[in-house]
Amino acid sequence: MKAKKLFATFTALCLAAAVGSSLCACGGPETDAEGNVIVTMTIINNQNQNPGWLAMIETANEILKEKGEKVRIAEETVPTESWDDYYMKVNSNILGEIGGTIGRIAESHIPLMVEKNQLRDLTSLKEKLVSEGAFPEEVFGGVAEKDGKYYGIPSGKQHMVLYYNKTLIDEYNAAHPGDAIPYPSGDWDHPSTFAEIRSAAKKLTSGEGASKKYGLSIGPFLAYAGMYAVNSGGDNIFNDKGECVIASDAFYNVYDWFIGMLREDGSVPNTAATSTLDANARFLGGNIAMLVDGIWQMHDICRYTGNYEIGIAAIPVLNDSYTAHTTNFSDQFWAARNSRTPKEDFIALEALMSAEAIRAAAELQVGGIPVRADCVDNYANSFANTKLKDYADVVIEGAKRTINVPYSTYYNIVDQQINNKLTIWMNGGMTTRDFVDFMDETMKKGMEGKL
Amino acid sequence: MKRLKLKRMTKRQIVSVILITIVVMIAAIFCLFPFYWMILNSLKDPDLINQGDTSLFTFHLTWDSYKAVFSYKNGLLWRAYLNSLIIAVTSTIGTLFTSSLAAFAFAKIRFKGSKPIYGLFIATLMIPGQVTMLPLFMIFAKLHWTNTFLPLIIPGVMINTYGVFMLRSFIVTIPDGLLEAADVDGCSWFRKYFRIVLPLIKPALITLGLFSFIGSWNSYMTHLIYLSDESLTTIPLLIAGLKEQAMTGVVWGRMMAATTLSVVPIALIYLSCKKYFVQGIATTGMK
Repeated sequence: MKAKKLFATFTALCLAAAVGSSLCACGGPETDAEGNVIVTMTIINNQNQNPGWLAMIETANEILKEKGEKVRIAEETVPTESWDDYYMKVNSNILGEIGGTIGRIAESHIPLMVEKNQLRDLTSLKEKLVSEGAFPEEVFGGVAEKDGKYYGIPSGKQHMVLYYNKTLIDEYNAAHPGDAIPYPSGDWDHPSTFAEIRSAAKKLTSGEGASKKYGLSIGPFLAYAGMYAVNSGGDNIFNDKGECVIASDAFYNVYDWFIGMLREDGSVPNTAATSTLDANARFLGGNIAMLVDGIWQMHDICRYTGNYEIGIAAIPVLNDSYTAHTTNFSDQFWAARNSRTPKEDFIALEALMSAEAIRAAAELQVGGIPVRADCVDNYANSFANTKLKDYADVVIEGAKRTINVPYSTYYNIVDQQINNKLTIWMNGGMTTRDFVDFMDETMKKGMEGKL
Repeated sequence: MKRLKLKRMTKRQIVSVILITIVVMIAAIFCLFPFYWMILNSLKDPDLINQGDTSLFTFHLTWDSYKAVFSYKNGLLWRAYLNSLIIAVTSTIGTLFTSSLAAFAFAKIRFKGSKPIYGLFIATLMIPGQVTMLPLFMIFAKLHWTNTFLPLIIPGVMINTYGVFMLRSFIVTIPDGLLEAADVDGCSWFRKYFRIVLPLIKPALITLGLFSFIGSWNSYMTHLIYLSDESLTTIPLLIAGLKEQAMTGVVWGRMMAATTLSVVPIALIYLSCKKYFVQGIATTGMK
């Protein structure tokens, strides 16, 4: 009898708790004490950019207050550094109609969100911003455009550059006066060549085992390979007719260059080395002398490279007959299609795109080169008091030489399958030619919907 | 006694004991090394880690990483500990209660269709969790249970197929004669369950409880999608969040300190229940 009673009480308590919590959670849009509607913005817990986005939100809220709008933006930071996990959270939020109704996401995920009909059409906001004159028409579109409609607003333009540790190069040159290494070139019309960078990387590599120092870190990922192919006279994955051209001399050359440095010279860290400490952290600590990475690293490099002097150069090319191009990434602000506060979302996004809000992020070197023309100088000037003060021009000039990653609904799965093979190739399990051919075949399968 | 035993052993047996001991010791070193490495890095100077220091023995230890974890967001660690404990303890108790009841029914109560129902029930083990994650999320979102602990507790309490499977295989070994004797004494099914079955399956319950606790304690993805408020953060979410602020890539010292702290409750529970845990695994043949 006692057991039966206990069971009945337990069941009744569970049901009561469930009903109670369900009823408590019902209600309309969230408001603050002053009656402002709260629009929640979902951001990734990005290691080096959050201070910029938080400053942007704070400034946008001030703008909203000044304008007398009854809307305020609150941030929801997703505790992950992975865009896939972030998308998982956003996806479930949209499905469950909870959490952030606006946010910022990597452009690689936009095609999927558009395809799944998860995003709100922001064409009217885009047209309003362009009509005000501060936003050039060409910054919109790309992956966020479908059938003439715009489903994302770019949060900035971020491209790849070559960072180099001047102090380490100077130390090498002092020790080897007859065999000096020139600084990599910051001139996008006359960049350093693959051979020059390889030679410098080899010379800057020293030591063995755990104390080994590497000359260069370079990601042989598909998203980056396109720029090296273009810098070798090839195409950015697809030719003008939209055909996949990965299996071409340009890509073979690029991957030969990668593998030569990795396996023959040992000047690039292998996967075992970067699994103990990632390449960016190694560069900050002076363990890697040169690093090809995005301008989103500038915030860190300005602050966490200690006494090292750092320089910025253009992306290398195959030989002197080519000019340098670089891959551009334009992450996007989005709004959920099924938001309960569509009008307020629009007002919040407009405030985030104000000159003041964009400047707040730009002044912390966050968000890349602003898409608002009247904020670019703020971004460039933000380097004035940093160790990168002499390289603002190199960065700004690079933004004029960009190519885009051809993201699509199938790109991510292609990329994932290629990355699965990447380690096998890097560890000598397959030839470079076979690996590049595999990339080509996988992309073609993706295009045909066979993955 | 031990000496006597050794004396009785042949030379060959002694050699094999030594060899086995060496192999087990090597295996133990492999198992313990990650823990040593985690604790060492949690105590190392964070700057040294960033410089790629991989020395196995260092005497320049510091509490800096632990201080950073304790002071992170005004002591959010304690809140995360409490939240993780609430989720893990309630879901574990609930799982043990419902799984043992269902296992008892499947093992000892004869009713029409019990075998096909049990077969269907076990077949659900083959459905990956990822497949049901979003549909479950939709259901809980419609119930307005998101941003509460309920979706992290209730599913495990309502159905834990693995737990039922494990406990059933333990309960079937209990002689029917014991339950028949209880019948003679006029025991109800619940009385037999509480007074006879539960005490006899204690090792299996503790094993399942430990699995359930660890699963709940370490769960990241479900916590990520269901919980949004900072006040509801749990240990896995806190560890993921620790990568923020310092902005120097992964801040390994802090990560290792937080991970060390997160392992403590599990290690304590395991050590205190080791005897039953080993017995449970030995009897059910599961791990």
